[in-house]
Order: sequence, then C-alpha cells, then structure tokens
Amino acid sequence: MLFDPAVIEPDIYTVLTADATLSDLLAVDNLPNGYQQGVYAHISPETDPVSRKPPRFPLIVFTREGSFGADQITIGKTRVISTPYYRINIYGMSSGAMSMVQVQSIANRVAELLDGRYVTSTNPCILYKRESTDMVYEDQGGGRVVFCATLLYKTTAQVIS
Amino acid sequence: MKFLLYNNCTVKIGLGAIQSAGTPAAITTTDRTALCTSFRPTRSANFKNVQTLADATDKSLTVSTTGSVEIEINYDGDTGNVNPIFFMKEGYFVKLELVLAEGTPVTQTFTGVIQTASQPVVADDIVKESATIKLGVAYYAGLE
Repeated sequence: MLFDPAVIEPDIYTVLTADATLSDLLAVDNLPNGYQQGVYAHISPETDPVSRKPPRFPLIVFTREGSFGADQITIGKTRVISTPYYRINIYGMSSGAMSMVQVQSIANRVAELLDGRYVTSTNPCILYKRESTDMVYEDQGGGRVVFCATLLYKTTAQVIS
Repeated sequence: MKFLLYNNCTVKIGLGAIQSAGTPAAITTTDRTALCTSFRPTRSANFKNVQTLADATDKSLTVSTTGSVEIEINYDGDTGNVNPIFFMKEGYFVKLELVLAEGTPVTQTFTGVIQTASQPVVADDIVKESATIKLGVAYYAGLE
C-alpha cells in the first residue's frame, strides 16, 4: 500500500453507485435511475458529468477527514494499519412541509452498505466502522430547507504483505 | 555518534519443546521482524549478602543471573499462520534472537521459557500477542 485513499475512495464510490436501491432513492420526482451521477468525491461539481446540469438534490458527497492516528508499523518497518476517516454527507431539500424522510432513507441505505463492510479483494483490505452521525439543516428562506445527514466512518486499511 | 534505530533491528523467534520434557533440542529461529512491535529484554543479577559483623555496609555478592524478555507481536492471521506463536504455549522453551545491525551485525540471544502470554481481542483494534519469557530456567544452562 503506497497511498490508501486511492483504494478506499474508489471503493466507496463503487459501492454507493452500484446499488440499485440507493439509485432509486437518489432519483426522486419520477426521474430515471442514474439521471445524474449523484455521488461525488470531495465536492459537488458545478455540472454533473451525466446530466450535464447542476446537480440536483438529493445527492451524496464523501470526503476524507483526517486520520484516527499515525499509521501503525512494526520493528521491521512494515506498515500494518492506517485509519483514515471518511465523511459521507447526504444532502436533500424540502419545500413547504418540512420532512427529513428522504434524506433519512438515503442515510439508512448508505449505512446498510458501509457499516461493517470488509473488503479483502484490495490491498489494503478495508474495514468500515461508523464512528458517529449527525443531522444538520439550513433554512434558506422562502420555505426551503436544506438537510444534511452526515455519517463519519473510520476505515481500517490493513496492508497485505 | 550515530544512534541505532528500530529499523536496523531484526527479531527472530523459535519455539522449542515443553520444559517438563527436559533439556531442549537445538531450536531453530525464524525472522518475525515484520510482525514484532516491541522487544524488551531485561537481565539482572541476584545477590547474596556476605556481610560480616566487621562490615559497616552490605557486601552483596553476585550468585546467579536472571532475566526476562517482554515481546509483543501482531497476530499473523494469514492463511496457514492462524495459530498464535506464544499464546497457549506457556511452559515451552523459546529462543529469541535480536540482531542489531547498523554496521557489523551483533546478535543477542535469549533462551528461556514462556511464563505468561496474552492475546487480547479488542473491538476496533488489531489482534496482538504479548508474552513474557523467563530467562534462567531448569534444563537449560545460561540465559542465552
């Protein structure tokens, strides 16, 4: 393992985009599944690469958020474990009657996909453990509220030597 | 002056027969540096006070030597290596070699018997083995 984010981030993206149930939840208002990419690394782009339009809610943005600590090594210099954190943010918007159900349903599905996920086909092997969750919202005026459900994952990346 | 760093150390481990079987055969060691996270050898002398009535101070005389090695290794969970090295092997002879090499290698050898061994399994942490090897034991002359 030289640079574990290059393994972990594609795994998160693949898991979240390959799930049909999650695609259903992200395609609201009778839009077809996959009408936009909907899952983005680090930042939501100005233009979605699939729809060629600004991304619409709901959407998911995941990003690295530091590490639990320094990489663990042995006397033999073998890097054994690294523990980067990844934050999964699920954004949604509601107008009029406020409801978090949409965002909550997506967060539930993300949790089902990632909680305890153990990937052994990559080097490093990756174990996902959820550390905490939070829910924030911002009143944008005019009856519009943007919700964000956030899930913080500690990933344990184990080097196969 | 140049200090020795951990990256110039090699740890080799070999397990022998149980002590109650008597004097052990020669023990072959295997390089476990890639698993080992700490290696703490200690040697000490036992004294007998041979002070006489005329002595105003203790007169300690070395009568024997003893010691121990505390070692911690990551559990090798790879296929074919799923058995612990020290845990559940208390009472077995062990030979440990520590090779210190920045220039010409210097090998320190420790031979003793596993006194205690633990293998804690803690959620969200790597599984490790910790063992204390008693040096200065029956059926084996010396500490090395």
